Amino acid sequence: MTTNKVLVLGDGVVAAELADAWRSKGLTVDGYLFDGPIPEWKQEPFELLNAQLAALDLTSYEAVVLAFSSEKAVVRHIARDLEHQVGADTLFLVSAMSCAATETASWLEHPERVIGFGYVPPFAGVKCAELSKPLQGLSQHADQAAGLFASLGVETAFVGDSAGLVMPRLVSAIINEAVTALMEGVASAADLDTAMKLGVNYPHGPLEWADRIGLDQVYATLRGVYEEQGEDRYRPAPLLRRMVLAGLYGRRSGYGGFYEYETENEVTEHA
Amino acid sequence: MSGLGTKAFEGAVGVIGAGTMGIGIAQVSAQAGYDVIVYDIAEDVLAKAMAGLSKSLHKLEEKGKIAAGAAQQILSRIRTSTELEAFAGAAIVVEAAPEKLELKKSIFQKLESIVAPEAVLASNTSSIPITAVAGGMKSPERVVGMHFFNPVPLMKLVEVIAGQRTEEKAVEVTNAFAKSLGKTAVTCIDTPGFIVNRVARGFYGEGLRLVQEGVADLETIDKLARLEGNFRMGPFELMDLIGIDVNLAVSQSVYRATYEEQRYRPNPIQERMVQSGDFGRKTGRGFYRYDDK
Repeated sequence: MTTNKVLVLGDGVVAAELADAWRSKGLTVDGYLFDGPIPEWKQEPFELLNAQLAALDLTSYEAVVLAFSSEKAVVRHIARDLEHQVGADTLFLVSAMSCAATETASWLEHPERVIGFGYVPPFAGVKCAELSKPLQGLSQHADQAAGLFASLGVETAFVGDSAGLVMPRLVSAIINEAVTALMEGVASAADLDTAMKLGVNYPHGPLEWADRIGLDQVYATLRGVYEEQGEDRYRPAPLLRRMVLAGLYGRRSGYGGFYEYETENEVTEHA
Repeated sequence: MSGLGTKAFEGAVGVIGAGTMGIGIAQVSAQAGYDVIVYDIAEDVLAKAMAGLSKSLHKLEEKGKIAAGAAQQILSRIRTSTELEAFAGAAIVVEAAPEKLELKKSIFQKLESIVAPEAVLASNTSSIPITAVAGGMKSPERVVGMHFFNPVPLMKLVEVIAGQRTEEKAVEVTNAFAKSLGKTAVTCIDTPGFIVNRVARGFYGEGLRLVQEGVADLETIDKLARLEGNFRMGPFELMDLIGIDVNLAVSQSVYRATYEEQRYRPNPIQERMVQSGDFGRKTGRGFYRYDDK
């Protein structure tokens, strides 16, 4: 099935990058993008979202994309509300970067329409994205989900459904280690990044990569894997959590992240 | 590369150990214009190492990677000795002996009465705490870690490690020395695995966990690491290249040095590979097969 109309809802880099990418390929993309995780106790974001959605013909979308790093209760609330407003067999392509697609599917009345996805930003460098099928029965939408990425020239690989999938989990673990080292005063952010780029040829230093992905997304992935695995090795670095609470999401936020970004070309290290 | 930058000091560079790392450090130092003294315990070890270096430098010259005549010029700056006393005039001594704490300690304790009081004593270690090497010395403030990466002539990074008692001056001299070799120096404090060997643990550890949990097979993980993450190699390809035995040893060392921090726990899959003798490329078989070997 070819998808022409996509509804994208999210709160960070992933939703924004995907919406842009599909739009640039001529798809009709509508949606609502929050800037940063929505706390459960805040009412306004939900009111804003509802007002936005009320203006759209929600039955006309062939796919709904949910890419949130907000708390689960928030995502559950949005997903459940939306389910009744869109067509019964509309694909729900949901980020499995912080929560297994199986868990998202468990909130819905039609779980068989859910496919999980994940990739590590920046999307411009991604040649293969990850997809996962929830356990609730055979999804009829696998091809459609793969087609949505194929339309962007991106290959897909199905991996086992789990919080964080493969690369978001792996990269977040590396970032968590670097943040822990920074927090412990082992080295400066710039030296930590330089070491990993020159010592083991990493494509980005872990901290500058976190600024690209969004600290909110990295934190959400770690929190999700930590919850699913219950193991201390995934515990997010306290500094990472505090930075997310302070709105230091990285490159996209006015406050920067591990570095400050004055202009596109000018980078200074954050104190 | 043979062109001279600004030297960090006028004195000679001492290198202890004529193994791969030691000879690499001697080569880049001589290339940068320093007089170099290489020490090892036996004449034949030194002769063999120098012959190997001469061969590789002449090959570089033939290929035009270094200027005509540069090989001889570089070699002429390197002297060898089986006596630590040869380091009397050195401004810095870089020790690249085997990774054994007692051995390093005894070398450094002998060295401190031989070298000038202001000479810096650097240990090229990847796993031994600098603080432990310097512990018990008369002047621990001039002892630093200087962790080069293999192969030394090609890898740009040097980790400069300050031990508990290291003074800023020794770190500055070592940073300037690294820079004069055309390297990029990063500074860190003396914690297990320093920067690279610590932060990289998750790349292998999570890869192994994902296979163990059946989230994906190793070929898929490697492919995603390359095509999605833009890593040059996936974790399993890289472990095969490094040597699964070497990688496991590093994991064990960091794990033990942190009193068994869970994040660094080695994986039974690594141990099983080592038990089977499948160390990776060097044995022709690791996570992948390399049948041409």
